[in-house]
Amino acid sequence: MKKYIQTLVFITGIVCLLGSCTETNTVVSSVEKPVIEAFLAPGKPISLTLMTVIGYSESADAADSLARPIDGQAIQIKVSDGSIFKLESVGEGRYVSKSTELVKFGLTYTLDFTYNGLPISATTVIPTRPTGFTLSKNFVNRTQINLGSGGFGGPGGFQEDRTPIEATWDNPNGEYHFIAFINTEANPESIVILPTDTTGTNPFRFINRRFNNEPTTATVSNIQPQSFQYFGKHYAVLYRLNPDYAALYRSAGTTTQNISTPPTAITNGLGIFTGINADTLLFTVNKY
Amino acid sequence: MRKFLPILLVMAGLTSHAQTLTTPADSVAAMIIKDEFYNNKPLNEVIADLQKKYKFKIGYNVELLKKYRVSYWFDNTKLLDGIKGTLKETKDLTFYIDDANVIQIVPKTATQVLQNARKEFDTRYRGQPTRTNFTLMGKVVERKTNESMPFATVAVLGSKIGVQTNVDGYYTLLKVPSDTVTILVSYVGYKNTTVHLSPQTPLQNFVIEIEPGEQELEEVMVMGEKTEVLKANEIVGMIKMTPKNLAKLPNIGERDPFRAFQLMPGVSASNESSSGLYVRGGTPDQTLVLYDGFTVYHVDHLFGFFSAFNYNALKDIQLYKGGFDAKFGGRISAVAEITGKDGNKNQFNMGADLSLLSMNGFIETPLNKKTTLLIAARRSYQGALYEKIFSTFTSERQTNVTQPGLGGRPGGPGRFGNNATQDQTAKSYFYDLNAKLTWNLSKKDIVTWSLYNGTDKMDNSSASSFNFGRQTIFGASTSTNDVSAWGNLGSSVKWSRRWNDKLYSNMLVSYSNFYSNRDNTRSVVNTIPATDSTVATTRNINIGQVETNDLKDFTAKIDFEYKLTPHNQLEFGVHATANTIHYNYVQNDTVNVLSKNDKGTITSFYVQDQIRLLDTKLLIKPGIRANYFDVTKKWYVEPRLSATYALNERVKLKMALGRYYQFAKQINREDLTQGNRSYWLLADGDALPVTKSNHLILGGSYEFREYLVDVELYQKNNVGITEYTLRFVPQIRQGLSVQETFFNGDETVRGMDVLVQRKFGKFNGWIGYTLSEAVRDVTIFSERPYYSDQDVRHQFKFIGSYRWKNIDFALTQIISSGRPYTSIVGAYQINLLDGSVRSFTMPSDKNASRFSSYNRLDISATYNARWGSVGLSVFNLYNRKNVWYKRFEVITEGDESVLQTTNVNYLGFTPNLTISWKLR
Repeated sequence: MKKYIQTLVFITGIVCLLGSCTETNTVVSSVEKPVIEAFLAPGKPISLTLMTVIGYSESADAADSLARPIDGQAIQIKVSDGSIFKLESVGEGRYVSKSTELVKFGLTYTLDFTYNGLPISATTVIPTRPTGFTLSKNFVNRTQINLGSGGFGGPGGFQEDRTPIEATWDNPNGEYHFIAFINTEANPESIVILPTDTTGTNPFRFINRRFNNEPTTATVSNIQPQSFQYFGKHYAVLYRLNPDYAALYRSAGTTTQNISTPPTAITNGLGIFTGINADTLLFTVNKY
Repeated sequence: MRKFLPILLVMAGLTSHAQTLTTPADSVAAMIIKDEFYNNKPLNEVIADLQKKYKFKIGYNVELLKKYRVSYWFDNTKLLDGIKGTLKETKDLTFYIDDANVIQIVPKTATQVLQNARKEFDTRYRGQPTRTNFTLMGKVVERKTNESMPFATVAVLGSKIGVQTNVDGYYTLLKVPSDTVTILVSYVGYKNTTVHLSPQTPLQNFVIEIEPGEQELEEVMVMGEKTEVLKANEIVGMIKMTPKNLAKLPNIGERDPFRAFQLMPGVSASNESSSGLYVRGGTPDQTLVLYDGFTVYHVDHLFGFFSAFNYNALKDIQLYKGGFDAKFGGRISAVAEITGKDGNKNQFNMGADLSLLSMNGFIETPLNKKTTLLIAARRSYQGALYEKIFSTFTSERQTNVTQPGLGGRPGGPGRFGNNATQDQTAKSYFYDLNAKLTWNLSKKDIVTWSLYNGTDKMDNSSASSFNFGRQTIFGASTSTNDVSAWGNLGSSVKWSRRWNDKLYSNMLVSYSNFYSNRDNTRSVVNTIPATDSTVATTRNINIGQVETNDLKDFTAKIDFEYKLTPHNQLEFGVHATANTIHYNYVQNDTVNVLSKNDKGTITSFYVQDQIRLLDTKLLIKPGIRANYFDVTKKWYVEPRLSATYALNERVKLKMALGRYYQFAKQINREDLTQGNRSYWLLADGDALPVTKSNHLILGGSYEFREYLVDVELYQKNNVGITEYTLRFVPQIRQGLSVQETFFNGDETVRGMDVLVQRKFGKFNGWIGYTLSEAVRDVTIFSERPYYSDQDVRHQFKFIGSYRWKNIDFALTQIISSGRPYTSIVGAYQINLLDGSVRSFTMPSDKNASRFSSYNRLDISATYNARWGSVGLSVFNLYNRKNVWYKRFEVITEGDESVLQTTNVNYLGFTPNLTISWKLR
């Protein structure tokens, strides 16, 4: 019998040996990571926003369900030409460089500060200005649709211009580009007048209120005239982007099986710190 | 009970003896009574009737038997079994066979007579042996069907000589000391059978018949060995199963051999959505599944709720949980070797099972003296149980169809209130077919052809149309395709030849195909009516994804077994497998996310030697396997070693170590809500490395009385494991490179399996406990190592069975730690360049959280009758809500945002009824 006991002891010994610990992941409170938002455009001073993460907790309401601004941090940005921009905290989480400290294309900008004891850093290059940007036309005619008066306003809405606006540009290096139309009117007039529904069960919610273009590596993009929400003058802006901006458009998973890591190029932080460059054309939406 | 023992011994001895010798007196024992029914008849009358009809003698005392009345039905029953059954009812009578081969009925109290009878029996073979030190060759078959029994143990009682039958049921015992010894045959699920040799015994083609064991669950599985019996079965980490006894375990719709394996320690039981074998921290694709010699690449039916194997077509399954022989290659975790039934060689037989889920039928028949055929087929039908399982595994998926690439939601049916119609034409089924033809060409040659075909088709498609407004102003119709189809087609032709008493060969050519097609697309047709200035236009948009995977495997194998000495068997062979694997994943009609066409050939050579040393106390099996993979143009050498040392009759120490390589691997696409499909790819040695694993297993077993305690410790170090994800891709687009989506790393698995089994008795069963850890280190997911998806810390299983009259009761309880998952710990928003705001959720570290523990109790009762059985099972008796995965939804109101978590659960309380019928 003693032999068996010895055997058991031997086996138990091995168990303990094999059972010794391995360091694996534990949940760290990612809430401590700051969220940074900064688009560095050439010819402009730097503007950066710093917010907290909205904390989620599966168990309790312990976490903060609001994103709060983080003010008063000593943030500096090192430029590859040797200069250092010291950002000033102006409240509401915003930090700005001096009006003389302007971003230049081709240079590298490195964010550097410490938050909650962790060094936060990120680096970006300002892309070159896009070239060869043209639009197939510089205006479009739209008819105002009044959904608020009941009914659907008749078929008149279909007599308007439906040929897409084709935007083209040069892209020899396959870089990411993105088109945005920005209304420049002081008081823009809506193309579609929505019914005033206060019940919260508005059946017309599906109507697009804004563009939903995605960054593309192609050299052409078609814009549907129906995408416009407002009459009047617009800037048609072609942005040239770094890949980290394009990553923001990746869909996030919703289950434990396809959950995705938020895209960020920021060490110990979240959000975006990226250089952009742009070319702008003018565009008008006429009331027809 | 002890009193019975001599009788049983006498009987067993005589019975088996009788089958093999042809002296006239033996005919009594061999006699089979086809059909006699006695209903509450006086015992004296019964005996008189039998004697008269069947012309044999029974010695008995009329006075003694006068008071007994009996009921018994002889239905193809052996005379001795029938007499035993008849007397059982009297409770105090028994019988023995005297030296003149006459059955003598005596009261159980006549111990002296019985003892003498036993002595008499023992002296029967005291004659001088005429042959010594000879080679005995033959076959082990089942008595009723003449089906050959693979991997049965044949041993010379009281000596160290023992062997295992090969896959065709053949055995060769070298250096049998004399022709008066007793041969003991044991096979899981069958009664131990002893056969006494005599000078008349033929030394070639000595056929030993065995019979199914009575009813104990003990016979469903035996792990390892019984010390005194399974000498040749001393294999580390092996579980063996006879599928016919699966009926006694609780089941949910199907009697599933793979689900039964999951009840043993070391095989995870908490993955309801996969019937694959997660063996010792491995994933199902790391387990080699061989069915009659060909590889089966995917074993799931109905979302993995059942395995693809029909128990009616199976004869034997062996599962090696690691440290397996050099004979097997191409996988790093485990091997499940399945042998199909040849079919009844004596007479036509058929049977059928009907459960709430499927219909299952088989026919087996001899075609002529040399040929047998077996066909088994089953098909699901859309009964309540099918629907329940189907909806459990699809409901979440349906409500979660996303439209990648479109900003706005096109709006589901019903949203518009007006004139929305939806037609759902769900049509889903699975079926499978097994067929096997066996030709016994000569006493030395057997040729078998085996076919397996199985298909699952899950069609959840729907069509809907809606009109917008009172008049038809806008019109739109959408049709959603949601079709998954997958299946296997496999076939092998095998030629086995026994060249002489030492050399045996198996040649096999096989084909195996696995395909999986998933079409989850929605096509939207928008109709804009004509106006004064425009013509009517329609727009056709296709969104969603199409995924196809097709794997073909052509294999040729030749295996040899060569017996050098009684204690040394050499095995060697050559295997060649050519794989062609296609994988294609297309999103939104045009974006070909991943397209791979792989081709590769693996040529392997192996040699292994099974040696018994130290008076057969030590069994060692060194081996080596060398593989040449033409894709990488490299050799992969796999040294293997296993050993067992019998410290004494009760205690045994075991070990195994080895290296394992895997060339074709299954990658799990991290996206289950839209149809989780894992798919096969072939390693390329670069972005997809050949996976390597080193195993070390140490263990021991201890047997006392009816108990077995078995402990094994294991460690596996895997190098080059692959995870696939689109999460680090900046944008899903055409032609993503392999490097952007496949990430490789290392994994360490270690753990301990404990089995405590009560092997005999009315109440028997086992307790299994597994402590394990699987840790992955793939840098891109996390700087630190993280627990693998399949990691489960503790898993406890209790399986108990109790027999009462003709009813088997069984209970299985599983308690397991939860699996790890990645949760969401926060969110934030970013203002984009076009002025819109985008929300992001922030996951925790990879697999840093765990689901709540998994537990489940299943019970069953099976009534056994001559014509078959009726089984009632309840799955998940206390309706435990076990988490399959979690779904997160971020609800944003103003600038406040909360996370809603929904648990998606596995199957709840589910009863099932199975009726089985068989002709014989």
